[in-house]
Amino acid sequence: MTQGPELRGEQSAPSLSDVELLRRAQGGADWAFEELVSRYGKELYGLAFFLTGQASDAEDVVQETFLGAYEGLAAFESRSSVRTWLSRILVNQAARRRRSERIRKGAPPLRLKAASEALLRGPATASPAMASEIRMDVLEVLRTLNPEQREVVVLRELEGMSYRQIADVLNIPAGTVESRLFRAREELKEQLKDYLP
Amino acid sequence: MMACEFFCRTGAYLDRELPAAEREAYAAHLSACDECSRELERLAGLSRFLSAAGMLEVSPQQLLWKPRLNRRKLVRFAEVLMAAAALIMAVCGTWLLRLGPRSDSAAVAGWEQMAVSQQADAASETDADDAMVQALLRGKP
Repeated sequence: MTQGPELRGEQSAPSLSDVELLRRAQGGADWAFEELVSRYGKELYGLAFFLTGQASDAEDVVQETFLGAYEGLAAFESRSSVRTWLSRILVNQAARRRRSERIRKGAPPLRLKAASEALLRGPATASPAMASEIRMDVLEVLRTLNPEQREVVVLRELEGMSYRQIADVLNIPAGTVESRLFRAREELKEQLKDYLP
Repeated sequence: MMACEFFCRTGAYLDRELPAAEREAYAAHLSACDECSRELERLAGLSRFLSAAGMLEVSPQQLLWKPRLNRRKLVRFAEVLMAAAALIMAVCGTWLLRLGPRSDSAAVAGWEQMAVSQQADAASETDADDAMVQALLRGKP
């Protein structure tokens, strides 16, 4: 493990940009890579969780993503942001891991919790206490989508990415992002028709 | 459904992904179209619900340590392999040592007996030679 920058009188890790950290990591500074893990670990875990639908799978996917990123440090070029680069690796890892898709086609209608229902019906805010219930409902709802639709929905609605960023992550045209999102939302509206206004 | 030409752009409008001119046109259309207004309301509800799931709580430290743990696991695996190899060598070595001395001791004992008897013969021959040399020196054959 190499010494952190603060020990050598340089700029501290949190003040460095993503690209600067990545350049230092490429130069062999493990502390720089660890700062990137710290910056994006939580976000990538959330992405992995909603793509795989399983906490244990999500942990593995995030591990594989960071290991893949570490091994592929030399391949990073500044054409995309570090966030997009890491998200792209993660989406690919999640797709590789995808075993049996359990799409809820023809399954009984979803039964959502009151907190989820309130959010769907009109302006409402979710308290942290409701978060776990809503999360379970969201997971159930995402299972009704095929993997391509789920990817765009998670990247847009849960990660808050723009169409351009999603296009970079999935390596598809921005127009395809919009059309996939449209179809995914049509599917979601159908599944949630009893709850939507 | 979807009779309105703007309908399928509602999602892009909600996501603020329409170019400025299209956005203005959509906004102007919205006040006059119930179908698109309802669609916007539905999609907004969907977005509220999905985004409320938010980010999951996970300790970055936990994520930070796991890749190291994997490397450590590899090192640990190599250590276990080396320990197993050392154990096998120790067991085999002990087995060979226990087998080896028993068979060799018989061979060495035979060899030693032969060597000792040859040394004894050589010693007696040497003694006879010495006596002859002494007799010659004294002038007595």
